[in-house]
Amino acid sequence: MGVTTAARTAAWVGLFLATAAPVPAQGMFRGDAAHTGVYGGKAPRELHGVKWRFATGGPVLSSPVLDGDTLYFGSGDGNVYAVDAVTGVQKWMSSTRGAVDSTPAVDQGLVFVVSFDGGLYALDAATGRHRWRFDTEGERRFEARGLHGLAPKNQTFFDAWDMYLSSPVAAQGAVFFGSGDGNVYAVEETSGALRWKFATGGVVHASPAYDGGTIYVGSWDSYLYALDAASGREKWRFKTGEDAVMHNQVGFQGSPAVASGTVYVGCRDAHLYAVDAATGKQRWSLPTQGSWVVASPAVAPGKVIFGTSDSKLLFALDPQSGKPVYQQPDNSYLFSSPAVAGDTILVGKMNGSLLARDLETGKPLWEYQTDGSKQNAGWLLKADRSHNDATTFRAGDYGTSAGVERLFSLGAVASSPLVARGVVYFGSTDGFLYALY
Amino acid sequence: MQAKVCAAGMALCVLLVAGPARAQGTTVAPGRFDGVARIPGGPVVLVLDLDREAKSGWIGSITAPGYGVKGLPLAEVREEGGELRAKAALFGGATLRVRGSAGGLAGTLEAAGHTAPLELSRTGAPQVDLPPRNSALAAGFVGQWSTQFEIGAFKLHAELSLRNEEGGNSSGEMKVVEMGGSPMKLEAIVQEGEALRFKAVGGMPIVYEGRLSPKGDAIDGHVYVAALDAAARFARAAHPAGGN
Repeated sequence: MGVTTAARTAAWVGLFLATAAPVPAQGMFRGDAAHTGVYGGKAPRELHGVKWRFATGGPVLSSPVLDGDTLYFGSGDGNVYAVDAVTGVQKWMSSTRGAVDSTPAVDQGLVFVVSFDGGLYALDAATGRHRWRFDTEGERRFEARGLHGLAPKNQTFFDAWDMYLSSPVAAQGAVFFGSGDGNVYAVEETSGALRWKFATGGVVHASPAYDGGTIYVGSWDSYLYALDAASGREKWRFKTGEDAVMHNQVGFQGSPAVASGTVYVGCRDAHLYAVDAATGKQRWSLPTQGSWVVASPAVAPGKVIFGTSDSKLLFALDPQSGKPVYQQPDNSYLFSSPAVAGDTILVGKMNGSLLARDLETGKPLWEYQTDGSKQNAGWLLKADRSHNDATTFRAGDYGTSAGVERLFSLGAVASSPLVARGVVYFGSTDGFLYALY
Repeated sequence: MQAKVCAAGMALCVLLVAGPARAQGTTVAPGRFDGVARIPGGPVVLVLDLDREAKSGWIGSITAPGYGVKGLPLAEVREEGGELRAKAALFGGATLRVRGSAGGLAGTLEAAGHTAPLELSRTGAPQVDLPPRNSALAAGFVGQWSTQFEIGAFKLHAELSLRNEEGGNSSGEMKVVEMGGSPMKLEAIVQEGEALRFKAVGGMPIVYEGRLSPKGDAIDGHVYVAALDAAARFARAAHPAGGN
């Protein structure tokens, strides 16, 4: 007990010292415009406790971003929040007319965020006041006949697993984002005026990555696109798998990461791809045993790190060859995009946990479990915290709202963690934003 | 021996300090309280913020993360005999009755004719969500307005009343004639230049966004109800008495 107290005291002192140091802005999904998912500083190597948790009115699928001392994120309750990163106290709350299942981007004193009401909002970062709103042609989830094998096969079902909205990226004075209307948009940061739009053949809920004047984004139409950021002109498109029967193994839900001239992106066709950023030619691909790659990869020196859904694996691949450096089994569907800080990987799990792993080996360091996961209402989890599909998808309702809502009742962590000043921030479907140290 | 005297003194000090603290166990103190209402089918997570306020004694708000509710204001907050009672538009209308407990608050949540135990732990200072302050209105917006709009197959008529209040803010009501009942109160009234935005609450929330016409005789905009929206042009129905 004495050791624990001493360790906690040391952790608090360390935290106090760390919070005094400035950190670079991490004001976009995955930390930067290229979406590398690598954060400055170090993450805790052991869990000391919950620094604070902040309650919203709906599931938090959005990932927090940091600018100065303020965290910005959205919630399924339709609000965008600004919260003091140190104290967890709300600075402001700004409403939209739909769920904000998108991660904000902060640039030039404005917060840009996409809402399920079909709008891109620009909010004053200091006050939350609406500056402008850009209307798309309307949001919608991916949908298909007989989706995932649901019956009857002629019925059109919307995909409840399509849970995220596109997270905007700000660069070159514009905001780039995708929409359920199938378009990729570029909108002027200051005015909200349309710069260009590019039509794809499917829902675009992935977040565009920006690197060197090019926007990279995948669509549910099975293509990864490279677009000129200034004009919207297509530079190349990269074709991935199709699934004409169940529409299960098709499309991009996750976002690309760009590093050293290569675009790394996971696909629901059960592959992780490495594509030449200049030409769009495949460098390598890794099959994932039929399992979706929804999570966006993190690109750390010598490793491309990502998780899979049904096969529940965390991979670290060699960026050059695509060969696994390691693959570690998990006990949960991994939708959350992993974050890397120092020598630690952090990843959210759909069973209501956040797991820290050692970057070098991939071995678990510590795990935090939300209250919903501990309560495990309806025995949705087995004793080892792995998913009990028989109770979760009890009526064959895999991929329907009912099944996904049951998963959400576990306090699932679909949000991507942010690490700053030794604190790990993430959202949960239990409606809270957590700060762990 | 000296050590024993010291220990006895320490124990006395602890008792002196702990005594009043125990007595406060039945008193409600301001704070943020995080816990659950134990309704059948599983606990409902609730976050309650309570603070003292000079004018009315107590103010508060409640958040229910699983129910889309953030910062819902508490109404009729009263403290009597160590029990704090409040109402909230939660679960179709709820009454909270709480007393101070060792770690926070304990009591009941009553809704829909049912009563559930409520256990909340104090987690910090209160963060009461106050309703957003309505901005003052330019004279051209003040007064009575009316409109008709179509939401799906429903043709509706609405009457809008906007006024300025002392203290530099505004208030208003909107009544949808076909829905009957009391007028809906306006919240989050924001006027910037020619643009006006507000939310009407008290039934299914209605958001309106519009702009004052150059002649000042109409506000052109849209109503938003759930996922639906419709064009709505408010025409001036009457000029405000005495102006503003």
